[in-house]
Amino acid sequence: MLFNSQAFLLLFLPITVALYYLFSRSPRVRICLLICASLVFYGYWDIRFIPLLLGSVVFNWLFASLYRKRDQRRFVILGVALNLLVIGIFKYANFFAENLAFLVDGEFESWNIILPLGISFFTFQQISYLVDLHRGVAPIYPPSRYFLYVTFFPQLIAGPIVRHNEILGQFELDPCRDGAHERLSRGATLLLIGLTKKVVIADRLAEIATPLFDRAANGEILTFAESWLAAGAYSLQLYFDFSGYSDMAIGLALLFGFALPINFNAPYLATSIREFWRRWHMTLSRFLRDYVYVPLGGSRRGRMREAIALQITFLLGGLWHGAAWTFVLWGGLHGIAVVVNHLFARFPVHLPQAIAWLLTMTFVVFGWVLFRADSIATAHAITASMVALNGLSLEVFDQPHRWFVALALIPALVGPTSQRLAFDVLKSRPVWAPLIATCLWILYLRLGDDVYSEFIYFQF
Amino acid sequence: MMSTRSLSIFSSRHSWLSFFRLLAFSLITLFLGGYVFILVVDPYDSLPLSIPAARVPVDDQQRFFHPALARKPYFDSAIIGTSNIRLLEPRRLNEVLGGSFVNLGLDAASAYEQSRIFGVFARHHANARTVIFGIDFTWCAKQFFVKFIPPRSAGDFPTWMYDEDSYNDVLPYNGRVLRHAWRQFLHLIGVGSYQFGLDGYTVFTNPMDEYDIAKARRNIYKSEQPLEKAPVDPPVVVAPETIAALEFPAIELLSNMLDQLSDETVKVAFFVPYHYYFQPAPGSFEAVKWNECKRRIAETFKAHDNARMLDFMIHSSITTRDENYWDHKHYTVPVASQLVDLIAMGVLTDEENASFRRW
Repeated sequence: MLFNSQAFLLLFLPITVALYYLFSRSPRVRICLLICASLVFYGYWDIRFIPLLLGSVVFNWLFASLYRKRDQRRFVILGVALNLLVIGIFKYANFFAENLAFLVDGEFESWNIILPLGISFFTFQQISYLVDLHRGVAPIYPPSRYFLYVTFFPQLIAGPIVRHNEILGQFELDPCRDGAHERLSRGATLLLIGLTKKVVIADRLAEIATPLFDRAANGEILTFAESWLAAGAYSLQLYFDFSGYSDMAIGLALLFGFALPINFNAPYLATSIREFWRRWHMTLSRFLRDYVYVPLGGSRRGRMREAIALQITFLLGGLWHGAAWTFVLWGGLHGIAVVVNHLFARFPVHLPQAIAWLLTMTFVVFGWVLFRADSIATAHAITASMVALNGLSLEVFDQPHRWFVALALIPALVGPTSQRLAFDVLKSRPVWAPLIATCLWILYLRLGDDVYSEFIYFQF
Repeated sequence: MMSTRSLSIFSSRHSWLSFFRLLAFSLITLFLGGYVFILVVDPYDSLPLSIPAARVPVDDQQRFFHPALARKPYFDSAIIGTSNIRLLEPRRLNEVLGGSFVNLGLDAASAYEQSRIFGVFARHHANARTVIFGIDFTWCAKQFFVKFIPPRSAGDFPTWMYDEDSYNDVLPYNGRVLRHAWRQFLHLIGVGSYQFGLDGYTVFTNPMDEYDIAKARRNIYKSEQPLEKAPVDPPVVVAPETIAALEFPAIELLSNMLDQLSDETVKVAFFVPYHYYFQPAPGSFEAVKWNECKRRIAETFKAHDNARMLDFMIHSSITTRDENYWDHKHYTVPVASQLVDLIAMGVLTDEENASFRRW
């Protein structure tokens, strides 16, 4: 079920919220209710995904319990290995087999493996829990709480990647406690902001970016202006699509009385690549830092080791996004950029902010071309046009709404961020309430015109 | 992360309670009010308990408005097809063929969609006088069930409007339905006026004084200059068993449709006049395939009483004249008028004419 679908907004969500508050006094019932709702939400796409999700949760919890009972490290190692095996089969088996076949000059016909939605998110979430258990910073949670921690529908498909200690304690809080009306109001506002980002901005940008990338994928040479339009439109589309999803997830969680970590903080204002990664998909950056970069030595073992740790972290981060060389290369390039960024940071001379921003954004936008392109060859063709290797033509064909890219730049660069809008700008002045309701209603009607599309990050 | 506890510290409990109440009230009012408005106005004239009033098509989205027209008892004849038949004017057909025609053409409709609108008409007109089937190559497609919807039509095919259960017609709640309800409301109170014909006929092309032959040629040939459709030389030789193995699954659907009409109903297969440049090159495999499809369709019609097969999809003075077309498929209004006369000639007489071929 998509957040941006009528079935979700008019049926699933109101019914779930109403029942949740109806049984708010009974933690057991309301938690069971949320688990059931989450399974319905997940199974709505494809009922076949449910056993995998259930199996993953049960096995991880069992490994965690066995580890706590017997204090044997092998249970954690086994648990992590099993998680990696599952994600390896579902997400990377075809990729590795295809490359292996290429290396040995063999032929390979892709296996028909369906990628379960959100597998990268719920698998990594559980790995982090097992590792924290081993580090001694996580307790054994009751099975129902653990179950809800993994399956809680607002964050199940595409994050934010929530840590156990950030949310499990909140499950025990009475949703009707002080501030319930404020949480419900701000949650609805965040839901509206996220929907607007997705439906009004990202989907329109997709109408510009997709045909251009498709043309490039079909071997057409884009003009200089078209290549930049494609790259710019996609950079903004990705931001509004994913940050819109995150806003909705955070807003939905707030409707149930839970606070999720924020995932975006005006990333296109970053003046360095390091800063960009502190502002973009923040919960993934945090996960990679704590569970890959730091265990690899982090910054404690010299500059060379740090550079290697960074590079590995970003390569894995790239691979996490998808089983394709474009993602690996994209991650690798960001890894190099962060290493270079670290080196430059040690020099006493700093670039003026405007130039630093321009350099950072140019790199990021070039990176998104690789991220979006269906192959390295397509990415190469588009970037060649972007650096004027195919001339400096400013002609753009069949893109009457190209101006929308410039318009979308305003909220991306000037802001305010969603968090600021929902938590600082929004006051309890009555005038806002009908306005929010009207906007939600209009968006709901628009979604009914069959304009909804899936979120980009669902594929990861 | 925003702490849940901190939220309540910064704001007064009472003001947020009022805010939330107003928000909830607004949401319920808008969502419920909008839906009730749709139910009462009944934009597509399809709901069971709406206010009785004369409703009209208030938009050119035929998939939504034609089911109600297909049910109207005052029509006894119909034209079924895609945009290729939408310019055939019912009023003129009434004059030359008699009866009372309704044009039920659906833009870019698949064979399946055409069968659904036909089904509505057939169920409500057991003794139809004449039904003209505008046959184009959707009937020769392999995947006749694929519901091809052009992007501009903004919406899937509303199958729920094509059955006889009017209670399931209350389901959709979206911007399009609300917009149509609003227009219908304006019409009902006598404020709005709409140009969409009550017999399904709407001139969807630009006015003829805006006709631009250069643009038409670009649409037809993808070139400023007319191009020749060179025959394949030597013509391909296709084995009879290859021809026999060709599959046209939609023809079975067409046969089922014809079965629903009474023997007395005049059934006309009108092979639409595509521009000759869009027709397959003579001597090509495509030409053999198209011809076989036509033959089988004609055979299907011949198996029914009162059937006429008029093939305008040939090399003729109509299909070779660029000025007759807006693009490779769509002819102009004057040509549509000429076609009505030719159809009448083909149906009412045995006269031959170079513009069509009888099967």
